[in-house]
Amino acid sequence: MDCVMSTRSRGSPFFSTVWWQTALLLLLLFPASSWARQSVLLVLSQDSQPYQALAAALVAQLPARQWQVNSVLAEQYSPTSVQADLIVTVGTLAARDVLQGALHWPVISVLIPRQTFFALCRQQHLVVRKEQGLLSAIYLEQPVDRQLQLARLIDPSIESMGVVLGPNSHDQQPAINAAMAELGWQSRLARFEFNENPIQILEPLSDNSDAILVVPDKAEFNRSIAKWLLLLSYRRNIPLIGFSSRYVDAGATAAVFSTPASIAKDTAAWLERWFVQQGQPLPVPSYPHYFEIRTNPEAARSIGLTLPGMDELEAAMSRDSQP
Amino acid sequence: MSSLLSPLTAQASIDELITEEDLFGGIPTVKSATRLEQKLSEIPAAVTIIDREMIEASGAVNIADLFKLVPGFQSYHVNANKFGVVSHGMGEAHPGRLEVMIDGRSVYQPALSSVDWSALGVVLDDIKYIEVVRGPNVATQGSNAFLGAINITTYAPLDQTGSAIRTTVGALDTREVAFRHNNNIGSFNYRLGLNYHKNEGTGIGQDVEPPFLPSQMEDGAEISQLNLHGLYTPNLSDSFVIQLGVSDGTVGVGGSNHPADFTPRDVKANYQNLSWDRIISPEQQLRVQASHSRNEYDNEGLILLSDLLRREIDAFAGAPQSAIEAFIAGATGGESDQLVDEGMETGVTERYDVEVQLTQEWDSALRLVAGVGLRHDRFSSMANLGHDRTLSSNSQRLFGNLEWRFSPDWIANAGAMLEHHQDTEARFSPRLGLNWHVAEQQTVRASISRAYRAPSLMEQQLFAALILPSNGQVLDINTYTPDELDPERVDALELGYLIEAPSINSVFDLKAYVEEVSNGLAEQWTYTAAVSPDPSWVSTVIPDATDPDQKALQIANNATWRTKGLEAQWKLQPWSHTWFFLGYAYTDTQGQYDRRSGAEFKLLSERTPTHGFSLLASHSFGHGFEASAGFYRQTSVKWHQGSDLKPYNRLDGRLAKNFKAGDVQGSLEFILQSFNSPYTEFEVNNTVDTRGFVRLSLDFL
Repeated sequence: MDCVMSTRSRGSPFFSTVWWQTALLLLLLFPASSWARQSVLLVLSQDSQPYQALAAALVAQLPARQWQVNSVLAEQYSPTSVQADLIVTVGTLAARDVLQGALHWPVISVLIPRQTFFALCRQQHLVVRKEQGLLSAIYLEQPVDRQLQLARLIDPSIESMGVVLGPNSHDQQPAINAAMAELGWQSRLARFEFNENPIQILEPLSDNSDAILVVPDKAEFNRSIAKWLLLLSYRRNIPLIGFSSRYVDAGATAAVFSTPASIAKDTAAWLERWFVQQGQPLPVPSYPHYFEIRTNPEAARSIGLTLPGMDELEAAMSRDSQP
Repeated sequence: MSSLLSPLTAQASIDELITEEDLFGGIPTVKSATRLEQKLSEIPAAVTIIDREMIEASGAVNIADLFKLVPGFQSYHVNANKFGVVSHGMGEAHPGRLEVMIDGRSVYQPALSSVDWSALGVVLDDIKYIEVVRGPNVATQGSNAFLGAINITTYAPLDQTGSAIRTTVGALDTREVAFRHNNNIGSFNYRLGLNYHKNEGTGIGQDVEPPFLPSQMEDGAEISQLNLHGLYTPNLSDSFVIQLGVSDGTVGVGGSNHPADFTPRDVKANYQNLSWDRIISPEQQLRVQASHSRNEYDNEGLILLSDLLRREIDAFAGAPQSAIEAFIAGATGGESDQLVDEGMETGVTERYDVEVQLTQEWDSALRLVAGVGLRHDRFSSMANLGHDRTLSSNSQRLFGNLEWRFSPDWIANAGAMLEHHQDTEARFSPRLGLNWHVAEQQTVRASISRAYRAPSLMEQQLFAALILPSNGQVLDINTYTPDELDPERVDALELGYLIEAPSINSVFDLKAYVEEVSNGLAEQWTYTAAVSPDPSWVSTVIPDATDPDQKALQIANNATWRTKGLEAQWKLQPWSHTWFFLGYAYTDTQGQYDRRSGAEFKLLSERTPTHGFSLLASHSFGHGFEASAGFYRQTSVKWHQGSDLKPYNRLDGRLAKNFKAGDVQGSLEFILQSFNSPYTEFEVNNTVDTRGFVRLSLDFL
């Protein structure tokens, strides 16, 4: 029996608590019901979008005859009551709470930034589990080469790319430099701290770049820098590649990003493979295979850029991201 | 629970890490980028954006002309260089039911109870885009946004580089030069704008009364303006903006019914605006804005009292000078003939304003903006107050708007303004709006609002009279306010339907609305015999020499009207080189005002044109050639104190060649306005005939 729903929208904490506890109790009472199927426990960081959206999309993707999917909020998660073959943590809080407790199951962390996942599994036993293929992650961000590919498709004349790195994203620099070098582009990096004058750093960067790529950092930094980046890229008539749908809303020329639905697709694909290859280690932590693209035609027009059609863009991006 | 077991250090460290919330977090919208079109579906009001592309394509040579594009708005020349802009009719020489703001600073002038479009401190070249809120917006912008609001955003220092010069010559002997320069001094970025405009006005007009004398209308203008916009960003969280401006010039004003009666009105204006934006956290932003503006008008219209009597009173038309002087001596207790001042547009107005605003975002579903503002207005005008003392008034306001996305397809907005003006009780102006995304790219909205407009200082204390300079006697009361005025009130209901089609860059908006105005201010005939000399500075009110009935106009809350209508606007760009903007408004006004203390009621249905239409189209031919055309239609209307105006159709055209030579980017434009047939705006003699202009712009990158 499918006793747990995972697509509840907003509900009161009381009902959530009662619901999940009842579900777990039922699972304990009727373990036989899941004999024929794999059981996966989703640990959600919060009872809100985008966690619930991801859980709902994942449930919809997995065949019910093969999978029993239960969900629990991170604040209610307890390793002692887990009855599952595998745990999927959704979001950073859930990953932290699960990885801090006792671990007897394979764990896939999703909806988590790459460096955050690494920071959370520095402890030796987690490193070992990772190496054993018992702990892995599907990162939330896109690989740099995918973002550069998008930039090249919307503006083939790019030869140099300005990149803005905030206080928490400095460590991306080697990967970015390598990806740029592969394309033969000149990389112009600006490293930022909060107490620096943004215009004095960004003005020369935008003056000497054919496009600008924004690397996600903490929200405060993202928000503070966006205004100046958008203004200066407009003034210089150069495209700005954002990292989210909301960046495109705000005026970025284009962005490639994951959504809860696309991450659910990736997660479902991993689970299916794990189901088929019983006992095999999990794939190594990776960037998502599925992604979405958005462009802002109005923003493109105002910098004198004619964008390729979305179909063309999606086809080219999908082709290039094939393994 | 595991989180209870987490060591504090783990909690602290997670705050240092980038999380999914950082990636999904909101990015503040830069209006220049999206021009807000992507956000139109979330606004609880009908909004028209006039962007730079439209400003250029319109071929407008003054700011007020741009509002002919806006459905439901009317823009007209009161004289060649004096403009009126209104929403849903009720036009007059000094309309006052719209708020006009430049970068968040109100430019409504209490001295004129209106906006002086010719001395804003900024010109067309300084404007980046204009947002027009079509409908009451008091909940957001305060009292003056009674029937709508115009928000002008000027170019900031970072929007442009280098220097530019633009010169326009053409009809009405127009000569205009505008220069701007963008640069920085250390970490202070600035944009400096400088402009000079001169024109000779409309030309020859003819009196509408016998003996129908033709004469030159002195309604030309000469004005110089300077503005500075500075930006300082010491770090990522703080930014400071300073804006300064001065205007100095002269505009000829008067009623064009009588071309000979125009008088020069000098203006000296300055403003200072300082704002500080601070990003406190991703969820909290603070904005503090302080501004001051001062406008000094001097409209001297000196005339010998005997000449005035000869002009105004038929019986004196052919009378010998000695007879008139004898009359003056008799009526004034022995005073001699002397110069009196007819100029009404004289006075000094000052406004100090401070506003603090906090934006709080709890999650992507719930946002609040709230704030408090203080304002101090000062006004002195012998011509309009009857004395030379300075009046002042303080007001305080509390405002807020809560945006709640209670489901993915629904957004509710609840906004309100609580305004307290000195000597009146506080007024609460709320607005509730609901936007429903019925389908992808389709939004239905509904809003209901109540708004109050506080009478301006001048409206409250008006005493416009002909006063004898030699002894202060009041010879004739023209217009005055005998009783305390109540605020005007509007109740409005609006339904809207927005369809966006990004594939053809199309945004279509339809709006149906009802606005009910009560306690409207209007002028009413009264009898000055009944006027007691109060306030006490009126030494004597002598029998009205110019009118045996001793009539005068009083301002009173005596008008009520109801406007219902339908407005549509459509901007689309079906091909990359061609775009269109269409606007249509059907407006039906029914109402009346008491013109003569219960003895005569005037209908207001003729004060609004029933139909208005605008079309602007632009096409780029390649090789830098561009053409655009504008068509404007307005059906008949009669503005207050204006003439009966017939329907007009106006066609404008513009040809432009853009070029680049080295580091210089330029354009040469040929503009032809009203090239189909002449028509009249506001008053007879105020004819808009074919007007041609040539404009050369050079940008030094």
